[in-house]
Formats: sequence, structure tokens, C-alpha cells
Amino acid sequence: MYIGPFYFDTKEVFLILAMLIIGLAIAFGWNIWWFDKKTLLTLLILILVTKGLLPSIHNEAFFILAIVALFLTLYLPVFQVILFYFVSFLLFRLLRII
Amino acid sequence: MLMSFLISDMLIKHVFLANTPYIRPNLGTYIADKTSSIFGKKQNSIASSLSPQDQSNLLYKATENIPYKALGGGVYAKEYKDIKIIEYRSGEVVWVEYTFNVDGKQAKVRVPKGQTPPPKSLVEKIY
Repeated sequence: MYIGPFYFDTKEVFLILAMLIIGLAIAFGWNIWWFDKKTLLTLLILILVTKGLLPSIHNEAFFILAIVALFLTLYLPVFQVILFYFVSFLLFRLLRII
Repeated sequence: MLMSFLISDMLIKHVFLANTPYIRPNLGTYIADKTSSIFGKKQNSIASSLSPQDQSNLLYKATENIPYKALGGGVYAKEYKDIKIIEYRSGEVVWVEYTFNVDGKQAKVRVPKGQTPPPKSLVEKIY
């Protein structure tokens, strides 16, 4: 879908929507069970930025990585999850998985 | 993903400070110390895989050419690099006998000469 001169894939649109919902949750103080809103927002921004670096065909491994990273935010500190995400992304790129 | 999890875990514990993006300022020396301690533990684990008897035999063999020094009162010692051996020869220890009265009975306690005798309360507990 085109927004002005920019093209957005379906998955990117959903990511942007999720970010908007979390932004509204932070602004209006809505509760999200177990997850920390700021952590989720940070991670979604990172996912969106790195999604832009990928060709559109390699989505499955990236999707699994994103889900695992979001799940790990329940158990690990934010910085470790971010490190894990970047190291995984780097390894995926080096091994040509994505 | 498992590998990246292990890498991130290792980085968090050893490279970064307290879950922050700040890198340990003494990273080089820290890694050098950790590496040398790992190798030290490996050497110790090889030595500790021997039975206690074999370990003491090895120590005695390493110091067999070194004479003992008499420290007095039946105590002898010798030293070689990191090995220190102290030998107590009970036949040569000079004992002093003290007699305590515990519940109407006589209790005799032998103490090496030069050492203070135990207090009566301790002797009463033993007997």
C-alpha cells in the first residue's frame, strides 16, 4: 500500500498499527498484561527499522525472531533482548537465512 | 537463535555493565584474568582427579630431596615452590598432663608443652 511516495508491505502496516496502539496505551494509561509498554514500543520500532532492511521475500525467519524477542521481554532485561535481537539478525544475515 | 541467545547472555554477563550499553572499562584485563582462571581450574581439576593418597605421594616425591626444618616440639616443616609440608611427630612432642575434677571424678588432659590448657568448662563438656 502506498502512503504518499512510500510503499508499505502488509506486515509493515500491521507493525505500524501495533506501534500506534501501544503509543495510545502509554498515553492513556491502558494496561497490557505482563508486558511492559515501553519495552514493547522500543522493540517494535527496532523490528520496523530492521524490517526495512530486508527483501520482501524473507519473512518467516524474521517473523519467528520477532515473536521470540517479544516473548523474551517477559523474562529477560530489555538490553539483553535487544542484544539478542541484533545478534540474531546479524547471524541470520551472515548465514543468508534472511 | 539458540546461539545468538548464548552469545547475548555471555555479552551481558562479561562485556556490558549491569544490563546497560556501557562496556566494561577494564575489558581487556578482565578477559585475560578469566581466561587464566579457566586454565588454572583445568590444571587443578587434573590434579584433583587423583586419589588423596596419590596426591600426597606426588607431593612427597616432589620434595623428597629437601630436608625438614625442626620448628620445635615435634613439629617439622619443609617448603618447595607452592608446596608446604608440615609433619607432626607425636613421639617427639613433649606433653604436659593437667588433672581436672569433673563431677567428683578425675579427668586428665594432655596438652603439648607451651600451649595453654583448655578451660574447665570445656573439659566438663567433653567428659
